Amino acid sequence: MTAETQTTKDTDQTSSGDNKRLENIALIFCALVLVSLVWFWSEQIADVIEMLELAYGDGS
Amino acid sequence: MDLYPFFDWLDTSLLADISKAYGGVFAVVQMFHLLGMSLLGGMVLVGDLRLLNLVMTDTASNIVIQNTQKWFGVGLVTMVISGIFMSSAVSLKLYYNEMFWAKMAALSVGIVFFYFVRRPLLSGPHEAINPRVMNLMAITSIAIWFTVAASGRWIGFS
Repeated sequence: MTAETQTTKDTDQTSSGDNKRLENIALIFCALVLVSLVWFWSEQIADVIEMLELAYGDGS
Repeated sequence: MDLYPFFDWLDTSLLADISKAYGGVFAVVQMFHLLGMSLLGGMVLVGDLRLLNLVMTDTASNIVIQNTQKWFGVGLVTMVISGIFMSSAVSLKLYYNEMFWAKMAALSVGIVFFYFVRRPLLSGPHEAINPRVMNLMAITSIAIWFTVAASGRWIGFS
């Protein structure tokens, strides 16, 4: 194996490692954001439903 | 960190004087705000729907993402500058508005996500990225920017 081939292989391995690290960061970030957004919007919808029930009754 | 002094200053600044006194100027700036928002939203949708393989499937996703990122920046800058001007008209009212802070939080998350997570990952070859991660990123991106737009609209009703 020539020195040049070895360097190319090392660079490929480093960039693949960087990619994996970025993918993991993206996964964690996306999971946290999506959970927060689901919580946020469910709170907003619950508030609106509560307000509608106060205005028009709960239908019972 | 209490940002009240900033909002108090903004309320009495020259920007506030102009935005309160000249309705025409406010309307024109608001138009730019909406243009910036539609440009940003359009770029987000084109880029993310391409990552989800729903649109422009005959063009490589690298090219679509590369082209949308530049215009995303233009839309963001336009939106932020015009937004500061518009908020000067009602800065103290906004300070006490929960939805305004929800919008600012979503906007901050969106900027961090775009420039520190999405862009670095998508700058390399897309074939090397796990397709599930790419799909998840696209869905998260759409959800964040939907929240920015929707909470912004909700400010007017809360």
